Amino acid sequence: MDGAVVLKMQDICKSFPGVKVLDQVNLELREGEVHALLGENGAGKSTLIKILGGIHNADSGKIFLGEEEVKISSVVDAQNRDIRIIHQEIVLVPFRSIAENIFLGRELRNKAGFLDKKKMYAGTKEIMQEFGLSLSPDMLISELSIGMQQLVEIIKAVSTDARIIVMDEPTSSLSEHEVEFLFRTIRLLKEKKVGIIYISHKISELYEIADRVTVLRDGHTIRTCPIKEVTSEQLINMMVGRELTKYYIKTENPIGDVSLEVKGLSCGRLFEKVDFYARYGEIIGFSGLIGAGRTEVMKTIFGILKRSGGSIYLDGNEVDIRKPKDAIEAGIAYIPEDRKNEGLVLINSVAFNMTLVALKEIIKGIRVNKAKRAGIVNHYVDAFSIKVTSGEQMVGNLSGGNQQKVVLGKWLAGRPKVIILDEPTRGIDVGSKSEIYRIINQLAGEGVSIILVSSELPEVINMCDRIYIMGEGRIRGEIERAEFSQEIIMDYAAGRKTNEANE
Amino acid sequence: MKQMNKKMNPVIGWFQMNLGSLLGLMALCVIVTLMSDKFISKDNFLNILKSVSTNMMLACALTMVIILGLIDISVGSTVGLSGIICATLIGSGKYPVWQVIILCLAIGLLVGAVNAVLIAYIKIPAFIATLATQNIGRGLCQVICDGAPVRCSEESFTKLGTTTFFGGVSITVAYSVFFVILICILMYKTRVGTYLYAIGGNELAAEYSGINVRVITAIPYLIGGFFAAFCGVIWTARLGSGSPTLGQNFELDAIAATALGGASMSGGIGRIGGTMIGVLMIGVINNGLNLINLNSFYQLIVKGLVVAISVIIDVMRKKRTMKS
Repeated sequence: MDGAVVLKMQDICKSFPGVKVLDQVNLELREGEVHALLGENGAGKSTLIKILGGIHNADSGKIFLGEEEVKISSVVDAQNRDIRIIHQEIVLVPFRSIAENIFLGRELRNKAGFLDKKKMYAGTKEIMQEFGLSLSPDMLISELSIGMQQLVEIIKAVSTDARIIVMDEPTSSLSEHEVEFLFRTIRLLKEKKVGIIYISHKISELYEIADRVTVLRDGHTIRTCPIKEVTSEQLINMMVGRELTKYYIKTENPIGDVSLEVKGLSCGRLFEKVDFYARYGEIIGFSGLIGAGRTEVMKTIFGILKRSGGSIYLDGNEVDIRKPKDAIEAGIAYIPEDRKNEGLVLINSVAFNMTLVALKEIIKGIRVNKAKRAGIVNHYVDAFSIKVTSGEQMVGNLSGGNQQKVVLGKWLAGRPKVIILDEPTRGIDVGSKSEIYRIINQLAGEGVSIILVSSELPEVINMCDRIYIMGEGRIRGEIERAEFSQEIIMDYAAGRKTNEANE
Repeated sequence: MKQMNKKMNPVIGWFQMNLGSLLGLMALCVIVTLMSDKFISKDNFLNILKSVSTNMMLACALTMVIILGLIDISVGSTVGLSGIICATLIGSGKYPVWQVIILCLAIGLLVGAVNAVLIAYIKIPAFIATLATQNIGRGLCQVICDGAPVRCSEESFTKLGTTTFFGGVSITVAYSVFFVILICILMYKTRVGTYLYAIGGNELAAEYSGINVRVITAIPYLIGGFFAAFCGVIWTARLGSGSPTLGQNFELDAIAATALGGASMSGGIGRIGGTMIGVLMIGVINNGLNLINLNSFYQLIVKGLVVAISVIIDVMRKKRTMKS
């Protein structure tokens, strides 16, 4: 890997009011290279990328594109210099076609100066074919799955002559199959001598795709080296800055009676005849491809989606859950996948969010029990080691890991019997992930039933006692801890294998 | 991911897209026909077209604003302001008609520009910004004429609003058709339309695609101000006098028509074609209620109910398609 250097960021410094986010950070990218950028949330990766993309300006430091020193003054400027950034959140226009999105901002026009829709459709088709994506250019973005949207976004970025492409956690919402597609695309881009900066928390995939890695911690460059020269343990230690002795924390907890049981649960076309049970002290996993219906099952149990059939039992008694309030009263907590939109009131304080579910215990009539409120907040801030200056800090300003811990605290304050966690570690850095695993394990040890919905196979394999695998709206298989392996789970998920009992 | 290549006839596509509003319009026509035998006649249809022609222009501008996910409630008072200035200056007999009209249109553009600066550059919520300009505009109307109507019956001016051709088609219909065609070209043949949808659908996506969000946001407000001023001029010409209350609640009819046409108040969705049907629905309601001599107070109630019901139907329909 000895291509010419296409990008060099030298001694970049950047401060925001009160914090130095980047302190003399260096990054070098060669043509045809996939350069992994690693670091915990808050390490400064996003800020560095935003400087490259013209969203922020560096306080000091130099940026070279090839030989030439440049100042990147705006988003448009970055684009004109053939820098493309694929953001973590999907930035496409939902109710417009794929073609319109791909050509957004650089529409083709005919001689009269009017939009040339035919040409844009043809162009879209061509580029999608080149990358092996078979969708019609006039499909609306809102009709596509999240994974597909992400792929369109990637296609959009690469459809122009890019020299440098930044991918910020591109696989966070992709299914196995879509990841393969992404990697194929990346290899194609490498052949075209495009330099790629690849940000991901999934260290295992870096070994598959990256050439070199740069690790950032607390705004400093820790090390840049070929990825083959370091082990994943070393990378984690570099990121966290301390020895993480055990990443997944799982102890043998005593397993009690059945807590939640679901029989024949259906919800329209989303999923059909789902049966499963959970026991006290047990962690059960829900695995499967994106779109298999896992989140929908959980939302139905929690009363967000309306069930069209089946019944839900708690401690052997049937419960009629029609809305989230019923589920909460029955003792079920649901911690949603999308914590920013569904889990937290971002503009309010940590204390506000944490006591939202347990409000009944704190406010009786017109009497507010402030001591109790502070007690609950302090208890969880300590127990989960949430990094906050005070309980009154705004949740929106916390890192992803700390936000997730606030959500956990919010639900635990209501003392649930069953906790459903939907992708609890998505977009969270390794250090916080490990702590969330510790909390999950601790809760199970206290006798709570945990349902863990996760797309990350190592997570379910290491944390769960039992795993259900879903596919196309049905439960395809159930396996015990002794039989766990990635291959078996994938076989079930892809439909190559099914439980006889279910068919 | 299985996807077929769907190609459909654009005309059929248009009908499909606006099916709900078309059915609503047809239902309204049937109801009015049953209630009054005067509804189906050439004169009455021409009358409806004439009465909706100004709302058509305002509603087109509002549709663009609403596609952005914003709102403009100042158009009605801009109609009034332009109308009263026009009547006062022409009524005085000191200025040539064409100069006065250009001045009025310029004032409309100015109001639009003020809105645009407040909303796109200073980032004041659109509702509040246009509420402010609405109040200021209406206040100015009263100040200019001291609260009393102004006569301006100069024929070279009034004929701009009263001329008819083709056996009774009002010239205001021609203006309206002309401007609607221009807006359709802008919306569907140039980049501006695409950018409006993009900003309304996902502002971040638009910005990251290198679109100048502020400039594009300003455009519908400028058009709104211009159309409102133009409507003020032709209303004054049609009436032969200017009134400080001209244009009151015009923005509400325009917004109602946009909503009836299927636009989403949260932005990103809406079509000029749909709005045109919405405008006709409002026109038919007004006309029908006049034909059966219903007190104008009740007209407001009926209009409100029709808007509420049709939007409820639309929301339910969307919910159903989402599920399947």
